[in-house]
This record gives sequence, C-alpha cells and structure tokens, in this order.
Amino acid sequence: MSPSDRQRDLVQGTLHMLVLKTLALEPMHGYGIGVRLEQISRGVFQVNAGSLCPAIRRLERDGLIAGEWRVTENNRRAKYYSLTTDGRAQLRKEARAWEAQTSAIARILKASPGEL
Amino acid sequence: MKALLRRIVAGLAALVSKRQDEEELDQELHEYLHAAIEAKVAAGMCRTDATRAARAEMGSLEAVKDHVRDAGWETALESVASDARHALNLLRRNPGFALVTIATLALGIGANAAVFSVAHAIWLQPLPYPEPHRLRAVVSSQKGGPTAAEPISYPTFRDWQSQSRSMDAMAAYVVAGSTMTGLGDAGAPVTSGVTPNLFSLLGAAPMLGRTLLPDDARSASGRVVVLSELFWRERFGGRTDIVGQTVTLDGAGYTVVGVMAASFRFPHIAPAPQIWMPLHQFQPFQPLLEVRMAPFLKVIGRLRTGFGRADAQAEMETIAGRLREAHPSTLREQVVRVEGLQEHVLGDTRSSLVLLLSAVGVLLLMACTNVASLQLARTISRTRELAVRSALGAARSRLVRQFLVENLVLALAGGAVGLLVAHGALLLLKVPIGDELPQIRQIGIDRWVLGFTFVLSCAAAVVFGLLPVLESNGLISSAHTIGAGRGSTADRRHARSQNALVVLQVALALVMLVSAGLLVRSLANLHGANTGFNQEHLLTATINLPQSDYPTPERWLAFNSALLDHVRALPGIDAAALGVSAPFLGAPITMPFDVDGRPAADAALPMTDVAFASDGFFKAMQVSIVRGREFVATDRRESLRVAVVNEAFAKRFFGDQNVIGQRIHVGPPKGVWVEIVGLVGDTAQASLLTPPPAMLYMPYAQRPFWITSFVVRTSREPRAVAPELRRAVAAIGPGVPVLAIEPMSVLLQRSFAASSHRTLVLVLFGALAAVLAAIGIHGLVAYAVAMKTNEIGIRLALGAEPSRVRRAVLGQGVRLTGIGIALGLAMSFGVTQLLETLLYGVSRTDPLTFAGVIFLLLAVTAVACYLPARRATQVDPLAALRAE
Repeated sequence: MSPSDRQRDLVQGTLHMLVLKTLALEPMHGYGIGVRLEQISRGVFQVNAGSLCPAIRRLERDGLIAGEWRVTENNRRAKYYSLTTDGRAQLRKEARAWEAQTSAIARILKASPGEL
Repeated sequence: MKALLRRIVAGLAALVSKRQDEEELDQELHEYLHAAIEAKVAAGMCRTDATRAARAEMGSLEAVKDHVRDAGWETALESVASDARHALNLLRRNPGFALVTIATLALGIGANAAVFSVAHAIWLQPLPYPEPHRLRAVVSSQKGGPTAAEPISYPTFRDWQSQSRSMDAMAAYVVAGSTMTGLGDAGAPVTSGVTPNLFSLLGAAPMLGRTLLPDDARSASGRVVVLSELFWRERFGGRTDIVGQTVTLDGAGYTVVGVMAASFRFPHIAPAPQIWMPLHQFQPFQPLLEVRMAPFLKVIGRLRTGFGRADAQAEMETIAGRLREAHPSTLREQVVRVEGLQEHVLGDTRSSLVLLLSAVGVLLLMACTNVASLQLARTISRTRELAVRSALGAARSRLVRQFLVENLVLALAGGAVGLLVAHGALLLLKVPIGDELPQIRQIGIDRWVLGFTFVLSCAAAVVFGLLPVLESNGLISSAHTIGAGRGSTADRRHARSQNALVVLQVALALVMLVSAGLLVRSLANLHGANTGFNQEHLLTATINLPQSDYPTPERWLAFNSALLDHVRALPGIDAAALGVSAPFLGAPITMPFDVDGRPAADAALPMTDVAFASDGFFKAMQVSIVRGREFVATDRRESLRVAVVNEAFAKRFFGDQNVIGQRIHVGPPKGVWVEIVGLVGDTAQASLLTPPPAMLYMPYAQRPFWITSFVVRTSREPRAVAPELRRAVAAIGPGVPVLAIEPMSVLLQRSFAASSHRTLVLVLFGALAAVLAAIGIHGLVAYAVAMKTNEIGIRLALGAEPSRVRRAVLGQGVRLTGIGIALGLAMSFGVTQLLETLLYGVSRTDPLTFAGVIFLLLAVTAVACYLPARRATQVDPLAALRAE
C-alpha cells in the first residue's frame, strides 16, 4: 500500500468514527453533521459532500446508523440519521482502539534516547 | 462477518428498490444543498452569492451521486452490465465491423480450440493407470544406430527382471495376429501376448470377470484369454455369459476369463489389441521363448518407491553391460534406456502436435492483430466522443472499463462462434487421421476445451483490446483533440500502429505459406519417389498359417509353394512371388554376420537387415538385378546356401569390391554359411523419408515362416485379382485366413499418411493466414482512403489523373506488403529449420517456393486494394472541396 492510500484509509476510518460520535450526541441530517464536525474541531476538519455522503451511505449499509425522513424547522423534508445499538457498540470499540493507538504514539514521541 | 453479510443483503435490496433509492438520494442531496445555501444566507451573504458558493463547494451534484453510489458494490456490477449492453448496441449499429471482428476471432480461437482438443486427448491427459508417472518403458536400441525401440528376447527380459532392484515389477508384451476359427468367418484378431503380471503392474481392473494372473504363466494351467470390450461387442454380441466360453485360436481352445473396458488400450498402438493372453500360451512365439537370439518383446516397468528415473537408467545400463559381456554375439550392440511410458507412447505424434500448435498459435496472433487494427480504426473515429465525455467529468477508469467490457463482449462472442468452428475443424481433422491414433474417439469438445476457449477468449480480448485502450488513454488526456483536424500528430501515430500491425500480419502469412509450400512439395516428391521397385499393378496378400494344421516348417513350405504355383497359373498374372519382410510388408530381422576371409576387426560383428524371398521375387517386384542372379526354384535347403544383397549392403560392407562369390556367415554361432550370388537395387523398406537400408536376402525355401507375404504382378486392376487369390487359398488350405489383400500403392500411401495429413492442415492454415492478411491490408487501405478523402478530392480537382490516384493507393498497400515480406523472409529462415526433418526432396530455402509465395502475397495485396482504389477514384472533387 502506498503512503497516500494508507493516509486515505486512515482518514476514511477516522471519518466514520467521527460521524458516529457526532450522531451519538444527537440525531441530525447530512449537512448538519458536516457543520457540527467543523464546529467541534474548531475548523480543522472541513468535510465536503463528496466525502461525507458516501461515508454516511456506508455506515447506513453496515447497519451502524439508521435514517429517517422528517420535517425540518423550515417545513422541508430531510433525512435524519441516528445511531443504532450496533453503532453505539462500534463507536465504543473504535474509540478505545483509537485511544490505545494515540497513547502509544504519544509515548514513543515523548521517549528519551535511552528508553527506545 | 456480520458487516459483510449486511452489505451483501443491502446491495441486493438496493438493486430491487433502485428507482426509489435514486429519488431519495436526489432529494437528500438537494436538501443538503439547500441547507448549505440557507446557512450562508444566515451568515450574511446575498442569496445569489450564497447559491453560487454552496454549489462551488459541493461540486457537481452528479459527481457526488456517483461517489455515493460507489459506496455500494452493486453499482459496479450494474455499470459493467450497462457497459455490456452498450457494447452490444454498438455492435448492432455497426454490423459490418461486428461481423468481421467476430468472424476473425472465431477462426483464430476456433482453430486453437480444435488443436487443443486434439492435444488434450492425446498429450495432456495422463495414461489411465494409477500413478502413471511411475510407469516406465524400458527400451532397447542399437548402439550408434537409430534410437527406435527394438524388441528383446525372453531370456534377456528374464535377466532384466531378476537383476533389477529399482523396478517394482517388469512385464513384457508382444503384439501379433492369431487365427481365430470356429465363429463364422475365420478372423485374425490383434492379439497381445503378455507376461501375466502386466495387469497388476498397470493397476488395471477388468470390466467383467478377471484379468490374467501370475498363475496363468504355467503352461500346465488352462489356456485363458482376456477380451477387449469392443471385440466382445463386435464378435460376441456383448453376450453376458462370455466368461467361461471357449474360443479357438491358432487351433487350440482358450477360455475367456474376463473383458477389459474400452478405455484400456495397452499397449497404446494402432490397431488396438483385441485379445490378451499369457505369453507362454501364445503359440507362434512358444518355440522362441528360450532363444536369446529371437527378439520380439517390448518391456515396461513400474518404479519402486524411492527410486527415480536416473536410478533406473543407471541400473539398466549396468545390467545391459553385464549381459553384453555374457552374451557378446547376440547382445553386442544393445543399449538400454528408460523412458516415461507416456512419452514413449506418444513418440512421433509429438513433433506433429508441436507443429500444429505453433501454426495455430500464429493464426490466433494474426486474428488478434487484425481485430486490434480494426479496433484502432474505430477508436480514432470515436476520439471526439471520448474527449467530450471526459470533459463532462467521466472518470478515466470508467471509460477504460467500458472499453475492456466492449472487447470482452467481442472476444466472448468470437469464442462462442469459435466453438462451432472448432467442432467443424475436428470433424475435418478426424477423417484423415482415421485409425492411426488410438485415442481418436476421445477427441471432442469437452469441458476442458470449453474452459480453454473461455480463457483464450479473455486473453485475446486483452491482447487486441490493450492497444486501443492505451491509445485512448492518450486521447482522453489531450483535451485539444476536440475538433482536431485530420492529419494531426495523433492520427499519424495511429497510422503507424496500424501499419505495424499489417506488416506483422503479412510477415506471419508469409511464414505459414512458405511452410505449407515446402511441405506440399515434399509430399509431391514422396508420391513420385523412387521406391526401388514398381508399385503399380502390384497386389499384396499376407497369409498366416494356423499352428494347429500347419505345425512344421515343411508344411509351411509345402502350402506356400503350392499356393505360389497355383497363383502363377491364374490368367492375367504376369508374375508372382512370396517373401518375408518384403518392402512395406513387414519389418526385417536384424542379424549379425561375418565375412569369410576377413578377420573380425574388433569383437564387434556388423549387423544387417535380413529378409527372405522366393524365386522370382525381384522380377515380380521389378527390382533391378545389377549383377549375378536372383533366387531360382532349385535353391532349396539341400542345395548350396545362397544369398542376394542390395547395393547399399555392398557399398557399406564391401566398398568397391565384387560381392559376387563372397561367403558370409549369418546369424548365431551355429548359423549358416551363404554365398552371395546376386546384387540387386536398393528398395525403400518402411518409409521413404529414410535412406534405403542395407539388405541381405535369403531364399524362402531355406527358411520358411508361417506368416508370409505374396506379391502378385498383374496387367489387370490389382483389386480385381483379389477374389481369385482368396479362392486359391481356400482351394489349397481351407480355413486358412488371409490377413490382408491390398494393392501395394495403397500400402505406400498409408506410409505417408501422417505427412499428407500434416501438409493438408498446414495448407489450410496458410490459406487462412493469407485471408486474414488480405483483410488486414484491405481494412488499412480502406481506412486510409476514408481519412484522406478530402485530400484525394482536392488532387482530383486540381487535375490529377484517376489512374495516378489508384496507383498511389495500390502503392501504399504494396509498400506495406513489401516490408512485411522482408520481415517474413527473415522470420522464415528461422522457422524452416524446425521443418527440416519433415522435408523430402526440397531444401528449406527452396527458391521456387519462396518466389511463389511472394508472388501470391503481392497478388492478394492487389486484390485487397482494388476496392479502396476504385473508391478513391470515385471521390467527388466538388464535395471534397466544399467539406474542407
């Protein structure tokens, strides 16, 4: 796998996790998820429709989120997504794995020459 | 795992509810856009700016939809399906292109499938025995002589068997005719005498009853036989109570103990054996079993576990060396080698098959280049379509995939039609082969051939599809090709590729045609070859005297002499004689000899082929008598022992000396001294392709045999004499079967059946290759004319003569052909080297053949260019000017 492929995979995996987390807070529609991600990450993550919508579709296919058509405040129809039980379980699992990864990386980065 | 299942199910569900999903997706994305616009408006932008900004951020709605759709696997499947539909549509709209392409591919793939079917039945399938790779043929041949397998004697076989450690078991076999009486017409079934352990060595099980057992070796136990399934059905009507029945062979009763299924065909020769019996019960060979001088057996063995081919070879060489020392006079020149049984069985057919496979591979290559060229032409005309689609946002991978699917559809269609072609080709191939190869019945289109055809079609798609795909990649990336005029650099590059392809085709066609031409000339030479005797108006018959009625050499001699006298008295018979191992009527016996007055130079005695002839034999055969005389009726046992030799013998062993009067001691230590009384011309013995062997002839009367061949020279049509010959035999010896009555010309023809067949196939291929090359040239030139229509129109408008235009078109075709011919000549000098062994009377650089083929190709080019040339001259100059 080339470095760019690896990067893309990482980002895709991370994006799934972030979307799950966002939906864990409250159910929302596609655009809202993008806005919320940008908000919480203070502008670091700016996801566009081309990446977000396929990610949402995949999560829906895997049964981790469920979609439901609702009427919004402006009297328009939108599809709202929420976490399923499987989704919640997956989120917990991924969050734990992520934790383990990042603390391991942090340890390596902080190590002094003698410890490595 | 759960996720995978979910995805599969979701994909299937999506396929079902496609329209609804599309609507929902569309709606969702519009809502997304709307929400984005509202957010921007809320942030302070005016509506138009907000709309534009939101749209820019999102990019193309369709592109996003594509990405979302790609998230599911079913879309890939759908797009392939739609590509296929699109491809079929395209083909329907261009039926000419479709027809030519599919036909071309069908020819190439079909020919390959047919040859593969043959190769698979004969070559690739392992022998139908358990662990066939452990089976070995132990082959004896002459040191320094040809490597053809020669038989050995039974005592030698016993020595091999007892001394060998590397072989689990060894078995010996011989195949000859036996005389079957008592069942309607007397017959002469093909009988194989085998050591009874043969069946267990091979691991072959019977269809009915049992196979032979080691106990059957003892003469004391009853005489038993095993029948072949075909023989059982033909002669015994497939009766279920066959086991236990008695058949009369060579006058004695044998009990049938079993029947072997039709798939058992040991020893894999033609004609296939119909009866197997214990060697010790095979009457013609019984007196020879203890004679070391009498070689008639072939040997197979099974390797012991833990021993390899090299071990067996080394061991057999040692054993052979030991035996050579122990029996110097008989086994002096014998060398032994151990071969895989499968290779041994295939023998000659290998070279034919390799030739066929190469030829057919070349044909497919030509077909593919033809199609590639056609594809290229089409790709160029689709330049605009591709560029526009690419500009509209179609992914490059999608376009490439579409091409591949198109090519695959074409190739698979070609493959399907190719199977029909293969079926026809197989019918054609089977007819001339006839009974030559035992596995002939198995050749057909089975699942192996189907699989091969499929794989080949896909490979072909890749080969001829690759070029246009690569080219199209270049097209897509260059946006400026939209609206590019003709004669751009891209066009020139394509023209070069097309030219290269046509040149290659012409070269390949030349190679094929030259090979075919050389073989045709060889065959013609063979037909007219000098056999050393006159093969016209000569009838041959072979008589096999049953041991029961004719047990002694005196009886044999009496019968044959009486028959000969009777036949000579028949009307219309110019001459008649008999012989043993006459040309094309039996293999000669090889014997050592030494010359009186010549001290044995080293311990090695020279060997010669020996045959036996009656008085008047050479006159009947019309072999030239160079010096001295031939045998006369008075050359009998009691009188002086005489011999006649041929020129090859004289030259080889006596140089310029006079052979007449020389005395020779022939055969084993207590053999006979003969005086040479005659020198005759050389004759071909078994094949015209090898030089005539050195022959020593001895009078039949001095050594009668039970199997004898008669030759009858008649001014009438030879076949017309046959019934009279039969009547004569019946009159003198009722119940004596006549094995074969055939004109000598038929025997000769059969001897080069393999050559004829090879030649026919190659000629066919050569013709196909020429047709393919012609199509290639035609396509190229026609395309060039179409591309240059405007230019031609302008030239005509400016006053150019139509004949000049015609000549220019023709010149293009001829120029390409010329380069192709040059390339082909270079290639053929290498290829014809492979043909060397198959040629007769022509050198592999025969100028006549080459000149003929070159002329043919040029003529074909002219024909191929004719139509486009004519069309070029018919271009309306005004229309061309207006269009520019």
